[in-house]
Amino acid sequence: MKIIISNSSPLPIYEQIKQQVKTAILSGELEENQVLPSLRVLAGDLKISVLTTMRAYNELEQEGFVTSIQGKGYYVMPRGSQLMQEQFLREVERSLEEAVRAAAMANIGGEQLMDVDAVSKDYGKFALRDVSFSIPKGYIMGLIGPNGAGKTTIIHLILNLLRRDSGKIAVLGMDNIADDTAIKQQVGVAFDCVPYVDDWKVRDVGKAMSLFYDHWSRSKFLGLAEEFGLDSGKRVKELSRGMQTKLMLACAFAHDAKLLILDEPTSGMDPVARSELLDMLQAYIADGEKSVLFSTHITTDLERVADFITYIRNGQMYFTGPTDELLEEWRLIKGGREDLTPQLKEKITGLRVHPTGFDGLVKSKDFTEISDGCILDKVSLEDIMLYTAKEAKPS
Amino acid sequence: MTAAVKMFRLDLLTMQVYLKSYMIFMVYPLLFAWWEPVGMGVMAGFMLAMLGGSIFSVQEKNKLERLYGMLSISDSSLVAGRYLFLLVNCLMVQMAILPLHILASRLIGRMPGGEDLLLAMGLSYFLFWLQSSYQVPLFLKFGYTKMRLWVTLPFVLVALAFGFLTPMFKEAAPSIETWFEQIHQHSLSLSLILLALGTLLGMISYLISIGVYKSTKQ
Repeated sequence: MKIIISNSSPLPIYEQIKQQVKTAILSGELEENQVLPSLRVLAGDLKISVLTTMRAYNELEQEGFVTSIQGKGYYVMPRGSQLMQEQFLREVERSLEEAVRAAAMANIGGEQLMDVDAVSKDYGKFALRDVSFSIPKGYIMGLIGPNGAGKTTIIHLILNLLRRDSGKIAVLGMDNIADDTAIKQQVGVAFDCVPYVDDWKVRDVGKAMSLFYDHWSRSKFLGLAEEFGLDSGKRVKELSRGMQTKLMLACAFAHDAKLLILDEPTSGMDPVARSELLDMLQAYIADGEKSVLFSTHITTDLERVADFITYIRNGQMYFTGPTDELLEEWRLIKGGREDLTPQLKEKITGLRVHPTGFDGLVKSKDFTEISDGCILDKVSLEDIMLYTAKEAKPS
Repeated sequence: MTAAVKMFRLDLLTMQVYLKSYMIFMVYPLLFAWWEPVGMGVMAGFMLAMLGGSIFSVQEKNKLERLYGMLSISDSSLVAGRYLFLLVNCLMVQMAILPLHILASRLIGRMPGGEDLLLAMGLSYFLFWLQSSYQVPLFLKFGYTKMRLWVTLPFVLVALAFGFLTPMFKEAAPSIETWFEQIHQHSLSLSLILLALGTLLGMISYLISIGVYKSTKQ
């Protein structure tokens, strides 16, 4: 087995070693009673302290994955150990969750709350071409892409603020143009800034919204306002950015929206307010009946909450699918200039060469063909956007 | 229609916060009545009714198109609600001005006749719709700033034309005087014609506005 250490990973190095050894054991790559690389050899290979490798091995031993024999080293425990079985069950559970998500995405045994099918819109200077994605019930879909990629255009097309040139958009099984008013009864929207009159008080917003929703609950709205810390006598313009977003969410929740569409709701919000918002979204979808479409360029938010990602670039689909799948598809490669062979260069997306070396993205499946001198790291959504956007720019 | 009434109520709620400005402007008819009861009363009524048009500036300032876009309301109901708001605004202003106008006129001892008042109302109603009928479609098509430009342009042209045509007016003064006499004699029928024409203009404008509003989504 080969252990790779990522400097950009949020996990400490000993934890990264533990995770990789566990995965190798559970997948069968490391067999029962097989000896692990010695503490010194592993520390030398990874260019880390022996104390770090020792901590990783000791914790693996405490968890029942390995056992140490004085003077001989560390060995993989037989699979029968209780701790290992528990771990194995957790792995199976995780795999099942992923399978359910994939099935939901492919509309197998689940219901799509929204279906965007080959939608195009041509403005002349900018065109959105054949955009397709689906949001299953009970999930959060992140819509990402650089500025001007077409995220807001997609949201405007869904909300029927713009007319598509071709394709279909179905929300809750209804056509978004023909059944516009029926759909909007069940959709809540939060924009990057409040769409209400600045001089309205919080309670005026409630009054205005109540006119248009059959299932509006005044008590729920006031209850949510109180829960969110919104003073009902305060004017909209006097609320902070985070509070304004909460006000939009209170409106969406008060009419029991089945689908929440968020267009850059976290831009300009501080980390605490963003974190609160993400918690709210997770609570919102918890009953499995509601979904969220979340457009943002703050991709760290999506890594935390989004089950699926749709990535738009220059008006075209780049990816749509489970977030993990996108993150697993790529690896960040870094190395010295001497490691950058022509063969490797061909496989790198968004190659950046600097005085001390190079970096870029490579497909995970090409991992084995990469020279040993390079370092491979896990990628973030931001890395993917950054490097693939660079690749898309005309030279 | 119910949806249009909802939109009308939303517009009322939108403008509710600007009610103070309305009240301040109520002083105008009193001042105008001091000079000339009928003609100035017409202008005062017209100006106040045009205040209803400030809904467009509030809409643009607060980017309310996004609010309308997320609400459960059809395009035609949205436009109908806005016209309903303008109509009610115009009528309410007229109703509010009338007693003030009579009071002011009585104080200065120049009480206009009932037919004169009716003519004043008919004329201000017609002028209101004459302006609103192209103001609304222009706003929907071009937004507030460009709309203001186009709305102001006719006034500028009329003012310029007035300057150039003054010698002609002098020559035609006797016949203009005759027109006024004719108008005075037929003020009741003229007021009804003006009311009908104003309403017709409003209806045509409404139909155009629906088309324009839908086209903005293309």
